[in-house]
Amino acid sequence: MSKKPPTPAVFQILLALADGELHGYAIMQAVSDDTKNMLSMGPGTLYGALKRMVDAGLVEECREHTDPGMNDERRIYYRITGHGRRVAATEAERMAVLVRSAREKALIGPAAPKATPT
Amino acid sequence: MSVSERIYRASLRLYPTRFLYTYGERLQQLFRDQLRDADTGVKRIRPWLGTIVDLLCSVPRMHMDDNRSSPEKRMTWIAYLLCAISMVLLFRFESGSDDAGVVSGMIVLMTFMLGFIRPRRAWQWPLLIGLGVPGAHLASGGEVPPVAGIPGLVVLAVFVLAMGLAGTYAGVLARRVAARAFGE
Repeated sequence: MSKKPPTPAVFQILLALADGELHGYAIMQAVSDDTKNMLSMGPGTLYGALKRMVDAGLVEECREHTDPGMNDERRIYYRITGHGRRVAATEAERMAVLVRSAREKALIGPAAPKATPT
Repeated sequence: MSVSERIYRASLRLYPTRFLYTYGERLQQLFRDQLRDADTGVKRIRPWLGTIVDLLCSVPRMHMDDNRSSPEKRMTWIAYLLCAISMVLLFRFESGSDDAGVVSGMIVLMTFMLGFIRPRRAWQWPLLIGLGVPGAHLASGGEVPPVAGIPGLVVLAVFVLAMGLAGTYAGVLARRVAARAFGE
């Protein structure tokens, strides 16, 4: 998994976990929000991807506890590993190069200016 | 547990057992979360549509992953494939030949091979292969003369089953001997 680029689902999960530990449903919601509902994953796809990612050492399972925002069920949380972070960074770099190239060829518009904090 | 949850729980059996053992409860929990967020009647259709698409996409993938990581499962699929090929060969040969000796030899050889490759639940091989010969007779409309008042097809089925059992368990025994001799 580390040699070839990660699949879109794997990359999105890594991005979702880059900010901190999340449980399955929170990952699913984060992916859906980040991609503006363009990529939605079902339970089987999500846990299938998570299983492969755990096997590849990209993420790891951490403690099981309740989510204060959800009901009282205990949930397994997932955390990105150092290796996972490096794979995500490499993929993001690769994508940035592609976007720059597409911009130079006028396939997409210029980047939106960064919002300045008021 | 709601009806939706019960249906989803039943559909989870489509996943490989090993995957379900670890992730079954988490999948159900996630489905419950989706249902809870889609609170109203019409919105409840969405998780279901997503779930059906998800099952169609993820179940075959999980089985492929499971087969890849488990040589034992791969051997099972190979054995079933060989069994299907054997049944077709036997069916074709039996339809066009009356040579009982060759057919018996073929049954013993095929079931020996299957018993050797897949010794677990070996009883299924003589049953599956055994269907080929009486099946060919039935399909071709061939008459089997009765033996001592017992219908010919029954005698044939018992004979084929006996040959198949002998071949299969000889294969199982050979596998055990080989495993002991060469170490598995």
